Amino acid sequence: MTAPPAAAPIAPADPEPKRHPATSAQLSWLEREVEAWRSEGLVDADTAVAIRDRYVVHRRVTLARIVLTLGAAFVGLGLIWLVAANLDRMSPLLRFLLMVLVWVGLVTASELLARRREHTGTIPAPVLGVVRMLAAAAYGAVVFQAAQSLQVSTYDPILVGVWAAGALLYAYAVRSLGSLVVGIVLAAYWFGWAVLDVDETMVAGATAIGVAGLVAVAVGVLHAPQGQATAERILFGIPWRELGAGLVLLGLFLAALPFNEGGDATGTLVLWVGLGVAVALAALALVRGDRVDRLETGLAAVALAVGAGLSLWRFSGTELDDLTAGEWARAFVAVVVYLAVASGYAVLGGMRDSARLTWAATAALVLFTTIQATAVFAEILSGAALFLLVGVVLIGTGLLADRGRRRLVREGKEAAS
Amino acid sequence: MTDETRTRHAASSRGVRVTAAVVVQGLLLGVAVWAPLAARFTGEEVLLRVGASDTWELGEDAYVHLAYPDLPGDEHYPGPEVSEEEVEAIEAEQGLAFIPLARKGETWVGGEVVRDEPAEGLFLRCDDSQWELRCGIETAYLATGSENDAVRDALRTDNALATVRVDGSGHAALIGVSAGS
Repeated sequence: MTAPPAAAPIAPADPEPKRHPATSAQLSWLEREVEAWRSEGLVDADTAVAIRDRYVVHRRVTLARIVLTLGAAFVGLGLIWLVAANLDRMSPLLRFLLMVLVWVGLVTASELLARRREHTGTIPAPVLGVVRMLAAAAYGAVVFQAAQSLQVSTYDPILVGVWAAGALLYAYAVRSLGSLVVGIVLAAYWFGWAVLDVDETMVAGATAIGVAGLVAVAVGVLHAPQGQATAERILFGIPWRELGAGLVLLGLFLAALPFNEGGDATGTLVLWVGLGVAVALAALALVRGDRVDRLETGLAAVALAVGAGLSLWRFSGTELDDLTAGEWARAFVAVVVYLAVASGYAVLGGMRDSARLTWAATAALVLFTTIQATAVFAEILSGAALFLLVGVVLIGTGLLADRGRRRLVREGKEAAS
Repeated sequence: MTDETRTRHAASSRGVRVTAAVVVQGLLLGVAVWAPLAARFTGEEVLLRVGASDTWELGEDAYVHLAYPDLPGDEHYPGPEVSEEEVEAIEAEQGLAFIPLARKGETWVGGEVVRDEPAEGLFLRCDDSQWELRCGIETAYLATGSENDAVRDALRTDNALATVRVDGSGHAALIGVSAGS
């Protein structure tokens, strides 16, 4: 083994080198490692100090930030509340103009804050984020006030659709994740409403939510396809993918409910168009994504397909305490599929390093098992027994997966040696 | 490019994007409320007899809910003697409703509800799927002060006059309510 090449002395070209923020956990790891490098002679004492000095402790959530963020949120909401409380004294036109003023004011304020942040760095990111999220929300107030002032029926999905489109547009124009979340949630709400507006059945509702979920997941994957993944693209894909996962789990949850509403399932034009768009986007995502992307898209697509299948395989019974063999089979398939899809999302959360996804999947699994236990299985199994059964199945799966992983590692080592 | 000019460049390009987004958001809003806006600016002006749908504490609130005695009201709603099948049949056809308008002296009166868009003449495009017929002219703003007492008196006796603009496709906009003659 040759000695490491003598590191060229780090010439401080910049009299004050930029210091990078790091969490205290990262820093304590780095300190341990640098100390190890120094004792092994990989770096000399000066370099070790220089490396350590490149970083500065940065606490992600400081008290000042929390207070500032809360303050911004309170001021924004208080302003909206103040306006709402005095609306009934104003004429329709004045009401509308006031809403426009609030909206444009929030947009302008967020731009001023953003400039100040860029020049002096005194504005924390969460404050800017909150103001931008409020600006996206205020656009909705403008839309609904315009409709109300002009006596358009406000009970119409088109208004939510316009709000969603506006919020998404704004989110990308200013690169605001908060506004993006507002936009995605509204867009999904709009689609569900537009479908239910013409076909008020559980089948249509559950399928619409699944379709919205698949679209969101595919759009999220397409934000950062293989070879084009920049940090910003990945960041903007996250809300799409994770809210999409939530929609997928919700859609499958509704489709699996033992619910008999009679009548025939008829597709509506909106739903078919949505399904077509979802399939096209999913296909594109499967082609352009990497392995994890394909798993994520596939999971959403399978959940949608199974959910639609469960919806079509109608629960035919009317009484939950007198189930036929077919109804039992349906309930059993529903539980197994939900278990598989939710576990899939929990695993995906691990692969993506997203604790949110894992927790959402776990919560969905617990909720689903509880509902199914009380609704269907109460007759033959107590809730406790179903939880035990599901627990044993999960532990068994986990052990098998772990054994498989170990074998892969062992074989990999053998192949390498 | 120095850091400063880069920052300034990023800020100005974001300024352009924000302005563009706000403009497009405004256009989207215009599309969503296009129909009543078009009626307001291009519609033909008609006078309709009008009253308050609820005269209780009229004037407490600046917003008054209106009822038009010369337009078909809730009489199309089935009474208790109608069978359940007939109720279902009636409810199935409720939704988009057209009301032909005819001139009768100074004011206009509405004819029977029809389901197909009239080929000619002035008509209102309404919706009767909810508990009342809605044509987009059901709420009036009347400031609560005493200057509107005469209008409120007229509204109590269905003798007020509503100025409504109606465009060629039946969209209507309420311009104002007066005490009438």
